[in-house]
Amino acid sequence: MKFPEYTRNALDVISANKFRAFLTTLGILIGTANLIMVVSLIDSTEKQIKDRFGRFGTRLIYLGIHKEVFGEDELSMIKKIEGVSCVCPSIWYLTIFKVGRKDKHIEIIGSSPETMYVENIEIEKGRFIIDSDVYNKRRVCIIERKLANKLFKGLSPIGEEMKIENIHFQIVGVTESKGFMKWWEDILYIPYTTLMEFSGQSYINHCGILVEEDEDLEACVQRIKRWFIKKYKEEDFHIETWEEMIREVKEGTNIINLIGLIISGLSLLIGGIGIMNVMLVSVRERTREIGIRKAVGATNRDIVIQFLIESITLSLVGGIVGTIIGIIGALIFSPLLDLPRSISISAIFVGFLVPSLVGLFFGVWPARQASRLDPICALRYE
Amino acid sequence: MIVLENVSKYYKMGEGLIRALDGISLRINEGNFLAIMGPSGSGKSTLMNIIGCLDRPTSGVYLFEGEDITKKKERELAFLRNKKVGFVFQTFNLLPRFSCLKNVELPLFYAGYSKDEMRKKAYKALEAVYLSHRIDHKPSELSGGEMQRVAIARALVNDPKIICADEPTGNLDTKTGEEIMNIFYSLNNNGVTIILVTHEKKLISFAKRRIFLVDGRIVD
Repeated sequence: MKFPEYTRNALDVISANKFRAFLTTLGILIGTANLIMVVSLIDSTEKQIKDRFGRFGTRLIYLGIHKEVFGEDELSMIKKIEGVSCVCPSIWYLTIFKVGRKDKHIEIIGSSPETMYVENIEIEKGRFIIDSDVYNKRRVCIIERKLANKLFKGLSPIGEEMKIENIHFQIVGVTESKGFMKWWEDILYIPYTTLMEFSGQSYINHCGILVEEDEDLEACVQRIKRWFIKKYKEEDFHIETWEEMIREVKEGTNIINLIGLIISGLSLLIGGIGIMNVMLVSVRERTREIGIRKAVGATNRDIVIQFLIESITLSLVGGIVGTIIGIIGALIFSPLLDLPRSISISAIFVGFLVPSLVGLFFGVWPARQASRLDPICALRYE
Repeated sequence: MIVLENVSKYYKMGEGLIRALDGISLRINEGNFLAIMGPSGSGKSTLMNIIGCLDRPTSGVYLFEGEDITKKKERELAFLRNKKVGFVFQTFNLLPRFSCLKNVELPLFYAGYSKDEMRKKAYKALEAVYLSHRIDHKPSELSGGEMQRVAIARALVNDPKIICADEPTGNLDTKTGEEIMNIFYSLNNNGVTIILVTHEKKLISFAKRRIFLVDGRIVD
């Protein structure tokens, strides 16, 4: 096989002109790094969505009620609808909370014990809301680890108190930071009954409904819809399944991904043109070498392969460095966006394949130029 | 072995046509040592390039071992150059980045030899030109005579039928030039056909036969 020799030769040529190679592959490097980050972030987002919906994902229906008439009674009515396994109310309440001297927005989520399963919440320390909390409207709260670390600097927050709008809440649990959709603010869970009392809101506006196993999700959605229309005579609510939620989240991130991909594409295009340019220069500089090679028996095909491998290698050098930078970048950026760290094999595969294809595509023209040189003219070239 | 009949080579130069070779007929037997002489621009390099399958005639017939070269494809010519012909140039034409050994291995690489075979054969060829102690040196670390000996090793490494040498002593001093000529002489004694292009009269003594070109024609 001639390939290892060609590759070694290509690396020789590249290392003889290190700075030029560096400048040439900069576009490829940036393009690949960007591409790896985008692919990794897409992966992370998907992974996060899966985490969020957890094992009940395929059985979840979300209900948003716009009428201010939905309370405990209606809740238990829904629970009786055929196929509904559990109903889990949630009320969102945005307020301001002092951290040190700073005012911070905090989202209080009035929850029920089932919220833990429906939202796939993981308890790190302590416990989640229990039935007696809801029944007795206890002033207990569960905070996210991120907030706990901010407030208590590593000390256990369990049993400590938090003052929100002049009411004291006792911290009974710490959850894993999920930050889904709400990554810009902190989240606090309290019993929904407590929240209703505390905020004066008498109605429930969000509801997670878990459908029983082996039950047709769509049929259940239709039953809930019928119940609503029968009761309120109008469609003043919205109902969403997990599939629709995932689609929405993905649509939200699609624009960002698209911009990322366009930037990658442009960098790779510019990088590719740079490679083509430097390869054309290289063909010119090495005209005599091409003449010598032809004189000792190289065919046009041999010359094409030699120069193609060179342009692919050049592009791949940039691609490999770009892949490494992209992976490091993804590892740094994912936590900043509250996404799980995820480096997929597909990202690394893309990091190798795409620069190779760019090198191949933009190397064809220079390689053909090289192979078409007349050996006699090439040997005389000064 | 080599038969040229009424071979011509024309180059287009702007509007005009340059007749580099104008109706050459020539027969070269195996084991010959032919010196092609003539003033610069007389077409001697062009003739050598055609004989060495590096170039194709515009018209006429060229038979190499009975095969018509004018009808051969690029690939087939490359194959012939690789297996049957060795070139030695005035300017040595070694690859500067490669060691002597690698330079000599180059024709073997295109012939598809394995790494071990390449190394063995290249070493033997360098030994034949008394350079086995220089295999890892780069051309820039060698003297002119040594570089030309590397070039000869490269030319003979694939056991060619003919060696085409274009002014091989042109860039060397008299004494070194003679050493190089002695190598050709002994190669010829071993049966290799040598085609030597030169304008130095004193080298003719090595040749068995000589032709003289003027304006693309054999005059003597």
